[in-house]
Amino acid sequence: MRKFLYAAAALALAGCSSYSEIARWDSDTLTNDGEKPVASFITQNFSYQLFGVIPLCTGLPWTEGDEDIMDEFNVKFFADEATIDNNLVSLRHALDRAGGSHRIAQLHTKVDNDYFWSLFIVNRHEVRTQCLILP
Amino acid sequence: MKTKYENFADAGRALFKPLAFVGVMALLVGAAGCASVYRTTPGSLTGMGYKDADAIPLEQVYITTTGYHFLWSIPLASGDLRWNDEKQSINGGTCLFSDMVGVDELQNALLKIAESRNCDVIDVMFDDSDTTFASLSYGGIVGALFGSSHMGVSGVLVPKKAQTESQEVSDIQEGGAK
Repeated sequence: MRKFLYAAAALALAGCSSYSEIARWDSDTLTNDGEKPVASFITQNFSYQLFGVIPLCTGLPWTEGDEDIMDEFNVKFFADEATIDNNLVSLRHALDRAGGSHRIAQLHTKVDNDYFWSLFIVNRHEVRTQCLILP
Repeated sequence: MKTKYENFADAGRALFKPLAFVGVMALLVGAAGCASVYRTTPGSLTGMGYKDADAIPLEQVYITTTGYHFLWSIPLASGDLRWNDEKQSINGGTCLFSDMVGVDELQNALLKIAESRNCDVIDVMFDDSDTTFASLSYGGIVGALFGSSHMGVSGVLVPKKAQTESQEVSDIQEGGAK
């Protein structure tokens, strides 16, 4: 039983890592907006809540780093940082990384709650945001 | 001396109560979280230039609802997406024995929120998924009889175009007067 609990905790913590990426648009292909984007951007962040209410652990938004990708084991306990607002914080960092003053287009967010993996004991809360970065 | 099958049966009986407790908790948690509205705090999009928007977007909204059903067609419970005029928001609770998981309901909820903020909405995108609880009954048929469907819609609220245009006209007139 103890091994199972350790395994479950390790699995949960591993899933807390947040992920963000800027994919540079190295092509002359235009989007349906008739513009050539600078990059695509996606960010996703996870948190775990006991019975969907009590925050257990969470990934953190993207606020620093020298690369166009962030996939870190970056966990904060007893907090819930997986929110649309924090995804916009990551987006602001992406816009800074893309350099200059940019516009965004096709901003979409999806929020998922998954209780089934833990027999409804722990909710796995995921917030995903994506957009195109235009010149 | 018990056989391994008898030991297995004993273990099953011992697990029944905890699993029953988990099942009850699951119903409570599931029913409580059937419909939700996630909104960014006003101003969080300030400073971001937005294509197809003549003005600064005010906020991003994501509305999600989940329904639970028996045999794919008999609704057990679903999120309540009806608009509450007093609260100026959707109810967000649970409707028993009703199926409010649909594009029409989500679209109405999104449009009501936009209207209440005196906004237009851009970049509307829907998503949906379905699942059965077969895995919870370890391959048994009981779990497969029950399922859930989930739908969500994302949109960005921008000030109404007519309002923006009239604001621009008044700005020009004010500038001319000066």
